[in-house]
Amino acid sequence: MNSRNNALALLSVAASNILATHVHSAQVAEQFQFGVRHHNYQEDPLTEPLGGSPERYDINVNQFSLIAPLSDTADLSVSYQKEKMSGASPWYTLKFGDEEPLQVMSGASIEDTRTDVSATLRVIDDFNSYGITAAVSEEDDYKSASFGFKYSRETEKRLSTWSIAADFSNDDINPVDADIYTTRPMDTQSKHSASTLGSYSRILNKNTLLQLSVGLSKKSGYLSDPYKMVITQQGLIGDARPDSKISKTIATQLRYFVDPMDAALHLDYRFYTDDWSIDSHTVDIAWYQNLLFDVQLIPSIRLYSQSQSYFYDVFYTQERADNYYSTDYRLSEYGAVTLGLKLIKKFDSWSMTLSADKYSSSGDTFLANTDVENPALIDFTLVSFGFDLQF
Amino acid sequence: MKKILLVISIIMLTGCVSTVEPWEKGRFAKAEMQFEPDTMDAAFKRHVYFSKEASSGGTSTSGGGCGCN
Amino acid sequence: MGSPCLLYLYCSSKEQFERVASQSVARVNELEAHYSRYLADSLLSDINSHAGTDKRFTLTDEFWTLLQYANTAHAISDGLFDITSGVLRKVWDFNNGQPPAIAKINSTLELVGWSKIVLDQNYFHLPLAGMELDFGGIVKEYAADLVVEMLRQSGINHGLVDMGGDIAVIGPHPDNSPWQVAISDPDFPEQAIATIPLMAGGLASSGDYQRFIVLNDERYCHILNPKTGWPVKGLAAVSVWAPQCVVAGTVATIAMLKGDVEGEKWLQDVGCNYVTVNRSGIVNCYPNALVRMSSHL
Repeated sequence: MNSRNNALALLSVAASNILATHVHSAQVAEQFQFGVRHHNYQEDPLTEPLGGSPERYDINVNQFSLIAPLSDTADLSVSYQKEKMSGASPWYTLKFGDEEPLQVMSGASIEDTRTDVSATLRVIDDFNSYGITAAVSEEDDYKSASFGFKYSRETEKRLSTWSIAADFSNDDINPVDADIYTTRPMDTQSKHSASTLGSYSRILNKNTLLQLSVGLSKKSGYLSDPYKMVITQQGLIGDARPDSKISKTIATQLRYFVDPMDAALHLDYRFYTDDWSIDSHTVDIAWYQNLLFDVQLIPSIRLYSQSQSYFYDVFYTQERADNYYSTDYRLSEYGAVTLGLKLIKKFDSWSMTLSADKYSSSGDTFLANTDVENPALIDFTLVSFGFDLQF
Repeated sequence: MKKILLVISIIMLTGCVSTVEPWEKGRFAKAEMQFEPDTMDAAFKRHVYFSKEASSGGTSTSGGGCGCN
Repeated sequence: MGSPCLLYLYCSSKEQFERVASQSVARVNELEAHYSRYLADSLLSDINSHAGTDKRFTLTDEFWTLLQYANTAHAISDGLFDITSGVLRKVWDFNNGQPPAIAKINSTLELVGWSKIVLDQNYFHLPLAGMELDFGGIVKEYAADLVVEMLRQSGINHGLVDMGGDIAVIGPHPDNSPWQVAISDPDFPEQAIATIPLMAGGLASSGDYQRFIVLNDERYCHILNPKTGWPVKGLAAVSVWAPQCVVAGTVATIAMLKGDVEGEKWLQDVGCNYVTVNRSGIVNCYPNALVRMSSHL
């Protein structure tokens, strides 16, 4: 009797094994995939700058990507990005008595071109996946080179994946016009960075996928911004930050497919903390809605807030014993909301994508709640347009 | 407090765990169910937020830095 | 695959339907290219034509898991489900009602026997010249399951695949109502004996009303018993439901192989959902509530 009652179960398992030979999770690319994007990034002008140009950054970027299958088990992905940026950037702050602090912008508009190239080789062997990446970037005053590797392993039933990645990079900064602006370092400065990330992702049920990631990163060397200055009791000095920063992140990502709507919900959260005492929370929510005619519409919202670094101030009225000074808005307490909308239209072997994102920040957005927000907080608009092709 | 809420929600979600047969994994092959459906877009946004905010990382060990300010 | 393949799909556009339909056809053609006995350059034909030689074959994962499946089916059917029994087909001519000579049957039986096969994914071969593997009883239903899976991955959630009478459901109608599938009456094939509501899973049928041979005034179906070499005098009709169409098909085939009375008993033991019409015309089904019987009974 027992063997007969098991008959259905035994056959079912054997049948599912046949189908499983077709449902592969991690797989190398089978076709060439080419992508091109054009991005236009524009920051809103500063409302009340004190001197200098109110126009902030305007950046145009052309991005190219090619993924080429090398064999049944390996693929190579190459990316190239060229950015042209122009605009003024925050220089130093001033504060008169009890009035709001004011931002002085750099005078002439900076014009710079940045080129970035990276390549990743991936080898997938049944349940294991190995990847190595190398990247270089260059702009007038900045060179960066990095190298990384990643290893992932799927569990037996391919329901979970463990992965670990590490990255090492070296940046060299040679600020322009250091002979004119004496607060800028004359010699080339270096920055080293090492980071690692461990992730675990799991299929929870047939509609749900969840990933948890933990990261650790250490940066050392010249971590200040050579183009920013600070007014102190001693006079005008260059932006001065510690020469080491250790940061940790914990992040979770959820993907949930909503059958009745033919749509997917993306819910991401990241907590960041570092030893400059900056803590931040990032929440990303997106809704991928499938529509008629192979069109996908994706509204999204990103909420961000960070606390300030311990040595930051919008304007220093007292000296610091540790000699760290920075009025950079990126070290201040603030929050930001990004509203985004993206449209993808699929054709037979290619697709088109168009998106717009609007970012606005302030001292009391999301979880931030500060009395004095940095006057240089940015708002930006990003518009992207591109194509993806498979052949 | 927020960390506790997060952990609780994760645990509650894991309570929705059920066995998934190989032929039930079809949804995960869809582009919209990937962690990064558009890698070019994700890489670019990472670059923008890395330059304009204090935080970085979380879901990838991205490459070198830039002089963007 | 020899029999017509019908797709009933709810798609967002005609363009989508055409795209997924052609992908499905391509998939089925691929399966045929690998597993068809009729195509001389299929992998299966290659293995069959080198039976009894030194040539060894490395099997794809799919081929290997199909063999494992056939192995399981052989074990649970007391050896009745045997994919080496295809050679017996050459001995029988279903068009005339004459049985072949006993000696011919016996000599062909020497080439039949799943236990003669050594299962090895990397050095596979058929040991005796003349031995043949026949996936005819598995591939059609497996193709239905595979096409369903493929269509699901393409975003189709409502539809049904009809592979020559073997049915696999992608999902119910968009209003969540089931597909109503009719089971033919063996005596009046144009009429339905029962209508089965399907929300999911696969439905496979077997019987002797379409392909049969009449010997000594008795009707036998086209399925051959691998132990005796003779066609089976089994149930007039059997339809089985299982979550996977390939499993439904195998269970229906085994029920036929076991014969009229034994087949019915075996289906009850296995505990699957089924409808049977036995040689006396009596209809049985399990569970009773699942099936709506036609009024003419």
